Amino acid sequence: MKKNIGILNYGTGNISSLKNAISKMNMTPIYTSSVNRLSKCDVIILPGVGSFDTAIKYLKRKKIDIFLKRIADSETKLIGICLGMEIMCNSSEESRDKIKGLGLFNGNILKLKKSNIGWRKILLNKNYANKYDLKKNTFYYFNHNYYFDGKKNDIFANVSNMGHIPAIVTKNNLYGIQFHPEKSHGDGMQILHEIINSL
Amino acid sequence: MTIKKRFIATINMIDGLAVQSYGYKKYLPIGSPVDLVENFNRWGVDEILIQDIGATKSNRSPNFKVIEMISNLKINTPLIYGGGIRNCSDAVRAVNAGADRIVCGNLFIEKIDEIKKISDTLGAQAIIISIPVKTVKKDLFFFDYLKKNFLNLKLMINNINNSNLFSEILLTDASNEGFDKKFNMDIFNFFKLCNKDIIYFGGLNSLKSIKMIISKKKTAAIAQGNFLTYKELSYQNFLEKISSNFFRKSYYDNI
Repeated sequence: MKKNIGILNYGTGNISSLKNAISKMNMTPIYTSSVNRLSKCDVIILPGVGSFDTAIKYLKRKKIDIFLKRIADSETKLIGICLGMEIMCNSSEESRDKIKGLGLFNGNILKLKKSNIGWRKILLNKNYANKYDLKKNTFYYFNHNYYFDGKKNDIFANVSNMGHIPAIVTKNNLYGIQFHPEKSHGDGMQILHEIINSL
Repeated sequence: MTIKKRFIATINMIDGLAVQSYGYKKYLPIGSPVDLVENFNRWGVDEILIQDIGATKSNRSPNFKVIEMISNLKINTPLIYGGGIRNCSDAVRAVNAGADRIVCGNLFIEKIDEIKKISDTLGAQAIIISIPVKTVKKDLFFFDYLKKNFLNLKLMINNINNSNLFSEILLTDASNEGFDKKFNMDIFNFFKLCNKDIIYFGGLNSLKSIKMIISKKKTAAIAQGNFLTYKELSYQNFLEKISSNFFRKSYYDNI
């Protein structure tokens, strides 16, 4: 049976690439802000374009933050992409109003000295090297101003040659992806597929 | 190498139609921008830039319809949109329609407060500032095509260097745009003074010039337009000819 992949609609930018990527993987994307519909999904994705404050305020206003915290304690996989990952953390330097994040990852979001834009390789953390067979010469598309600063054990992969910047973080059923797998051609699709299905 | 240089496939558009442009003076219609995007995505280019080159001049809003049509394609290549972005609301709407990043030109010299609003809302990573350059008696100028003014680049460079509202500059050789191997290397030499990451565009298809330009740290990308539309798989041919580690092998090549 096809997996239902919930994509949380929280007023951030365009998600058509993500929907397309999921459809291509023979799964059903469900783009919604309805907690009821999301709760029936096999995996929930928090997509990522926009500002931290706008996103987190929306989640709190609609009480979706409570639902996501409950999901984090369940077996449903929750995947944050870029901004989606950032709001899963404790706090962000981007927040002007000093609003707390969801606190699902034990870490904070710090500002980069300059934007990281372009195609980069990633390096798997030794602890996770046996979980995923990362092909050589694979590049992923990064487009961000902030990065995750948190527990080393939660870091699945780092950005190559930018040692302190995590590319993927994970804890139990939670995944945070700093780059945009949906914009990273076939290699991005492959790693997103692995994270949804087997990792 | 820490990061690969990007190759940006560029589509100039007028009234929803893709055109080959020559110095932004002569235009040859070539068809649907949507079809071109589909091809460039299939070729595995690093980013795709759509420029509605008549929008700002005609005081038209961005062509959201075309962005949405592209967004409905099953593409997985980052999309940059430029043309007609008059304020923060236009920028946000362009992103919501499907653009990953936007290009602003005249706003930078006319309404810097709007650039600040866009930066606060979408982040500096989403903003590229367009600088069209023209040469007059061997001196380089920012060409304000709306007012037909030539602005002194030497006076502007400090403003550009000191601003943290955007992430990259799209530097266009406006006189030579579209012409074969005509990119003026004086522009490249002048912008060595600039501390921002730069995308070079305009008559840039000489392998020798490209190799020199991409070897510099501040070069983030090169962009090409007309040259990609002459032949099928132009991007693959380019990668083969340039044979450089500075560029990522496209996914198309890896299959």
